[in-house]
Amino acid sequence: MSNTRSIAASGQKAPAGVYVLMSVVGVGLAMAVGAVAALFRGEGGALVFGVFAAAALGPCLSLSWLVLVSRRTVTPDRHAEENIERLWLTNATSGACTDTCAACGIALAAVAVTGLDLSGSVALGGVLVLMLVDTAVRYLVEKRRSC
Amino acid sequence: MRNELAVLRSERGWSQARLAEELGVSRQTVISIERERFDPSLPLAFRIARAFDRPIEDVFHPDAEA
Repeated sequence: MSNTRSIAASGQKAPAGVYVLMSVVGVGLAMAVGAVAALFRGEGGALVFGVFAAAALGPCLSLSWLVLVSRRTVTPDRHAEENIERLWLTNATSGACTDTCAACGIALAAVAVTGLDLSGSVALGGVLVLMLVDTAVRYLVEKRRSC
Repeated sequence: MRNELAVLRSERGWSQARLAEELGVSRQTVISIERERFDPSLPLAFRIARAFDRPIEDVFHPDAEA
């Protein structure tokens, strides 16, 4: 039994109305994302709305499940923080944060020196991918050290 | 911190998974404590001692330099 019990289902089910509300909220949020995208992009409004709403539907439903359903169906693990996996994750995320700060500083200096013009989406995407990959690698290293 | 967890567990005939279940933690946590690569929290240390009906100082010993 691993510390995944911290996110294990308790066997309880939420009332049907909560699932309906979750679906309505999730779809509503996705449609709102689509509407905002269509509003800001101007051209191809209906197509942009459809594509962005469809792309956002999964994350929005997940978010609404997290907020509305999970508190009724998931039992928190009282001992989650006593597991070594939590220590691995804490060390990995704090190390990745430090690495990302350093990488951002170096990248900023490089951009300033070379005069390169990076788009915001590329820069933010790079930071996000770096943090996720760095955290994953550091977690695996922590795990390997303990085994 | 040194500990007698592996010895006490063997005396009971418990597997690492069984002890982990008793303590409410992951098996990897038990493995890491036994290998003295992870010091448990104080509440967990007390639960470990209680699981073996021993005082905590019989289970855990400070390092020589501690």
